Amino acid sequence: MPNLILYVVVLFVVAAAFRVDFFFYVLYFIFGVQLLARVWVDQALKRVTYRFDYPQRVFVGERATVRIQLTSKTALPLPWLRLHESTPVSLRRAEAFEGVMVLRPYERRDFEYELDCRQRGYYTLGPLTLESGDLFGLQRSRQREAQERVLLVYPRVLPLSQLGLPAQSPFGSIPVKERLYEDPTRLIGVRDYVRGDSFRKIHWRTSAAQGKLQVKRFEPAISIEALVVLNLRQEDYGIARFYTASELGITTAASIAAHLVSARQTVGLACNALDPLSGQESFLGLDPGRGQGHLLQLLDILARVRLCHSLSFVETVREASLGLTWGATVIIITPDVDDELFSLLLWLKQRGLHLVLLVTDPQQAFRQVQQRAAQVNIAALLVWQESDLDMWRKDERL
Amino acid sequence: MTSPANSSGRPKEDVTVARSVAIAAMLSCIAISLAQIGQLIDPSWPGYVWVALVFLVSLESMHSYRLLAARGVAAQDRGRFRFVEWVTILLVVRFALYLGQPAGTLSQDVWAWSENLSAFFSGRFILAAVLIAGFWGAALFLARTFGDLDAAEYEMHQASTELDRYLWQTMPRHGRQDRAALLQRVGTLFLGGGILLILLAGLARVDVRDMVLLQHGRSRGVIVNVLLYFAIGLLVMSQAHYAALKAGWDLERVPVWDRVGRRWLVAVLVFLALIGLLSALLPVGYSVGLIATIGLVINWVWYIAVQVVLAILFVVSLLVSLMASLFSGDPVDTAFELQPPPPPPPEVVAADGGGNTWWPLLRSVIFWAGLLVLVGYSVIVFMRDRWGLFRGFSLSVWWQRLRGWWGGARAGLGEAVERLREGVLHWRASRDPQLQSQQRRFLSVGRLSERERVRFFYLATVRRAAEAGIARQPTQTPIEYDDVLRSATAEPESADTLTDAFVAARYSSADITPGEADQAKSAWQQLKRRLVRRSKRRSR
Repeated sequence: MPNLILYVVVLFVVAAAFRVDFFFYVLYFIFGVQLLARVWVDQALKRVTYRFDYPQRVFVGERATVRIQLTSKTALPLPWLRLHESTPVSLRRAEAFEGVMVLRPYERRDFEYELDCRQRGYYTLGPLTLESGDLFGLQRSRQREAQERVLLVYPRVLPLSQLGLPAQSPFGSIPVKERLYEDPTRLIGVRDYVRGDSFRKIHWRTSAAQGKLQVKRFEPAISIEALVVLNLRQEDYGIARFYTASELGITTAASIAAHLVSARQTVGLACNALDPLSGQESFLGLDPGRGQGHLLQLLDILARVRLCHSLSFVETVREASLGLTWGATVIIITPDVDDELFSLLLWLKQRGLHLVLLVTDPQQAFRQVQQRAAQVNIAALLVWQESDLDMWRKDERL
Repeated sequence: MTSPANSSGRPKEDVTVARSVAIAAMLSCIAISLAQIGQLIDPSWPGYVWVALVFLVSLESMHSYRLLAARGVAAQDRGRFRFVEWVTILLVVRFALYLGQPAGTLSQDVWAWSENLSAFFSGRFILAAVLIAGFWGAALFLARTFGDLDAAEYEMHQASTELDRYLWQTMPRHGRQDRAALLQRVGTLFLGGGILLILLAGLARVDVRDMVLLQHGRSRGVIVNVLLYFAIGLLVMSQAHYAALKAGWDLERVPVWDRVGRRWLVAVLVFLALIGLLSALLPVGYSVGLIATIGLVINWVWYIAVQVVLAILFVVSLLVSLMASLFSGDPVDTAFELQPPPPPPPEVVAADGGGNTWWPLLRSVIFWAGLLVLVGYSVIVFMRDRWGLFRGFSLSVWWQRLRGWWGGARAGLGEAVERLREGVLHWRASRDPQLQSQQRRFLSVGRLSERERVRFFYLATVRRAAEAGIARQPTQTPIEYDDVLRSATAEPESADTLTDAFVAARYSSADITPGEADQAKSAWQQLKRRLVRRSKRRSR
């Protein structure tokens, strides 16, 4: 509809010229339509609030239900309101969520849609856009959600035994009963004093209470510290399999971490990746820790990491292993192993670390890699074929 | 999640018929004023017949357009169709002009036509035919525009091999109708028709000679056809807008969850009735001139301001005297001799000599204020649209600022009252030894640091909440108590804001910015309002 202002001016001139009272009413009427239509929509749309309810973390294969609640906090109704919610293409089940409705005064409307979380990743939902207008096409307003909403889709976590790894390999190679190295910060109880015990370990308060010498028992430290180091440099993967192999590596890392946490052991993570949170390539790491909270932090990282291009994996391993104590286990997940990496692994072995090598996309015969690793007593395993995944899925159903 | 749009965006038959009748009625409203002018010139002009003719011909025009569109008639047949249609229309017009004429006129004229065929084309008939052709064309234009506004079949679903699909894909804007331009055309026609109608209606009521000499008086009363024209016209405009919106939604496959179309009509009617009512309440004349009205308003504003200042001075002087008497022990003495209030503004005599009763004055004030707003708004929007002037000027911005000032004034007043209350408590405590032990610390919120202000606002809220029956339990953390506040006050955002600010101010060493303190204050004011209301309800 054309702007009514010029029309109002002409109408005013005509009304004043003819001195017909009714023309003034028409003048007011048209001006009122113009003014109210503009003010109405702006004010009504500003007072439409929205809130979202959705699970912020889900696993691959699950469905996430996003609930949107629209509330009108004004007595002004909106004759039409178009709602548009952008959804990630790789998660959507159909088109973007959108529709047109009438929003009455102080009305509250609830909507929901589902996302099919088929693919691991860090996704942003929205922005939600609300658009409305008046009844005559004089005014159109739009309101756009300012805040970003994040949905993390965790990688698949498979039971460790189904990965085909030797169950004791990553974390059981140091007999726990030896207790050569104990962590003095982790007191797990007391026992009777035996000859040879250090006096510094005597728990004097308990000894006084029981009337005989009691010695503090500490948790063994070396058997529980494990670090998963994941290579996500795209250039280290083959062109044909970089996506499949990297996702396989991430799934493997998540599964191992979950298994270690469920076994009440500490596990850390390091990888070279592109972090969508910062938009930069960086060394992402999480110091070894335990508990479900720690596992969630670890899965958060694994959910959002993407392949990078510039960061060297050797540097990542070197940097991540600096803080590890003697006897810790390092699980290296990489597509391939070159000479430089082998040299580094040898150095780590000499430092007293236990190494497990998981290869996901070897560019040479894996047997060679395995033999070379075996020479320095490193366990090397291949996580490669699609049939392996099929087998895991089949077992998972059981 | 989403549902497919209707395969056809075409409106239902009853909607199409209703639109056609509305357009025909609109055009007939113009025809009424035209008939009135015609009757002024020639009293034998058949006014009612003329209006009925316009109505019927407009309907015929729109019906014939739809018939041609539905049948897909070829160009040659289209010409034949139109020729036949127009011969029929002209015959109907020719004979309809005899309705209301004395009996026997028609038979005489038929005899004359047989002698001289050119007598058939009389001046009155030619004028009527030309005007009818104008209305026929306007109706056709509107019907075609409405047809184009609705989503066409070729815009919806086509097989990729169809010619229409190919044309649609390769034309600019994907071959879609430029519906904004169509709406603009409908609007221009409606407004142009409105101006024409008003001119005709004015000319029908006012003697042009008196008007030229500026001797014509005011004309009162409702002009029904003008009223109907604008009411129906705005309805038609809103329907055109809805048709364009609906077509857009259909083409973009946006599902419509509610019955927007049905509610649309109700909303338009309510909207127009509301504006009509407001317009009817506004004055259309004035008894006091513009300058006198402005002078009167300024005088009254000045008078009220002086009264307010005097009242404040009185209260302040009373307080100062009271405080001075506390320290000196002298009896209370008023600081000022109260001056007599200034006289009220002089009375303004209405221009029409109708006395100075308040109602004509008020009507004049409203009239001139409305007119100034109208003219000012028009000029600003006109200049902004054309030359980009006043780009930063927005009524809504000014409205927001006005609200902000009002809110600030209220908050300031609230704080002043709060301080006064605290001051009185402090004074009572200092006077009464029993109360001294319970003396509360006198707080000047303005002098507090940002951190202390946030804490003050939170604790004040907790105190008010306790008065409203939702006291914080000693075991409750602020976060736990936040849930109580959220549900009890129905102000979740304010409760969250204030709680978060308090937690930050109380338990962290991070700097509290003035902005955060202001946000906490705003949240406190919202919550306070709710809690006070709740306390009042509770006390009842």
